[in-house]
Amino acid sequence: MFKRLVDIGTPVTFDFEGRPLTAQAGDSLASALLANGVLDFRQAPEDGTVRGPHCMIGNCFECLVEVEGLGTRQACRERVRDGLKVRRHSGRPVPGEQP
Amino acid sequence: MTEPVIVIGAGPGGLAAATTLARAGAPVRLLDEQPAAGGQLYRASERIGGDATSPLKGWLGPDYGAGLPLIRAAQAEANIDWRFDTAVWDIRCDDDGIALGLLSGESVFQDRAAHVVLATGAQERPAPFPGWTLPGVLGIGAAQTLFKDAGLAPEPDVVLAGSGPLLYLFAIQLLNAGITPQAILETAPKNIAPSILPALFRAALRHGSSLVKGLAWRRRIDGSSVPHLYGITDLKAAGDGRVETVSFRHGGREHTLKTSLLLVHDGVMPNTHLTVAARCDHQWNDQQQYWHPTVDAVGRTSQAGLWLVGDGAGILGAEAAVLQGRTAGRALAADLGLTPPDAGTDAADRKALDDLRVLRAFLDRQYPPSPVFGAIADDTIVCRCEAVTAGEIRGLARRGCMGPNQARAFTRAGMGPCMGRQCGNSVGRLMAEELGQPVDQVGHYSARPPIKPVTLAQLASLAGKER
Repeated sequence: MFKRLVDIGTPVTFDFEGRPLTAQAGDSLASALLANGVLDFRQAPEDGTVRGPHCMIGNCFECLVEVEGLGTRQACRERVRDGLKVRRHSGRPVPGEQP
Repeated sequence: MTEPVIVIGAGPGGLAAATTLARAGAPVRLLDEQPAAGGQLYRASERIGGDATSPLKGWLGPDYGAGLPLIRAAQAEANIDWRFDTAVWDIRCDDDGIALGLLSGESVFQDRAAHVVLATGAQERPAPFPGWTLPGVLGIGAAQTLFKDAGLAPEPDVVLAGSGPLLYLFAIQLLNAGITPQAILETAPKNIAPSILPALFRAALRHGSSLVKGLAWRRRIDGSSVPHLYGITDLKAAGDGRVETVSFRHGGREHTLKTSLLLVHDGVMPNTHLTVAARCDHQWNDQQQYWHPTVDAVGRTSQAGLWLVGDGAGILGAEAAVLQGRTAGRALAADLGLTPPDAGTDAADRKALDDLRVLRAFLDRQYPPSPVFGAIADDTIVCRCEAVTAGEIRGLARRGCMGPNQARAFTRAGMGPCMGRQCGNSVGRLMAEELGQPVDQVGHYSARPPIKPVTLAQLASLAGKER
């Protein structure tokens, strides 16, 4: 996995799947989660397998997460903010449930 | 002349083109998806370069340091209007110029210009192998992005696999930071084949300094305690929900390593999504196995008013992107009736670009796309988004499927969120191989808007809105 060698900003606390995690100002959501040991970002809709960041430049869409209730956000392109609510992205929505 | 030239991409090519145009007196609107300038190679240059205490500058090395002066030169131009965090979700060329659909934060809007310079760069070549969809399998470029952008480094159990200059560069950067990877598994052979020697000699004459640098990297890696194996085959990743082991064949035996992180690299290829969407003419580079738009000597694509500089036109590297950006900037300025700045250096820039082409001809032959990733097993996923395997694509080709676009309709390969950015190259190669046809006859995916995800509400908000 990854470890933080150099600090990039002041501490930021955000919410992932209902638990508080600490990252640094300037982190993308992807680096914020990876720095906390989270690799499993989403469930692929077709085969149900778990996926995580792969390209880190906005190309592969493997790092999709749900941000403040909005699905299909690229974690490598979103910046972390204090209090941001982030959840794993599920490509298999339950019928009738709000996204 | 008041209408701005739009430059898309604030990496080395886009920065150079924007600076040259601005110095000629053209107003420039410079867009980038990222929150700061530098592109992928010079990512986070301002943060790292501006912090005298950051050890990253030293670890990343002198080539990375070339980015900050490019950014500062562009920032000195009042004619450049910077638009960060702005993604392009639509591009179309018509009789009135080039229309763009843009996404900035939560807002979508449209823009239009008679002249657009694309500097959209490269992506790592997707390298399908068993287990490559497991979390914890990332590109080496992806890990380098995390290193620059967030100061995150792989833990020492990391395994690096693949081939190409970036594999060596990142290994050196890790060694600089005091991290000794568990192993480097190179898919390329150790020795330079005799058939490549003429290309090596030509490169030595025209760009010897780069070859010396590459050799020094290799010597440093081989002088370190990191096991460095050449010519590995049969790479596989396995694990329950994340990578746990990496296996491969070397020296006639199968080996397995435990790891939490596998970084792979099979070279880079042009990022063609925007040029395909803009319906530019493209051609197939059979040696490097990638599509690239057809451009003239100064960067004009086949679409009137649409220019392209940097790796998006074919991989030549950052130094070449700057030269291409300046050359295109001067030619476009002349087209606009302006006096190009530094016209006297134009010939020198073109000569330097030619030297870099000779160097690249050697690198391309020494580091071709690896057969380790090219021989894709039937049960390996090629389209990650829709979990479509190589066997499904081959089966379609055998049953008479006409090409990637028809395969997409049958299997949904290329129809997921990445819209074929990851599988397009593999699907075309697989079909061509199965049909016994050249890839350029089989064709490539089309790209239709929106080429970045936008919501219906965002699209609806466009009604009656321009710019």
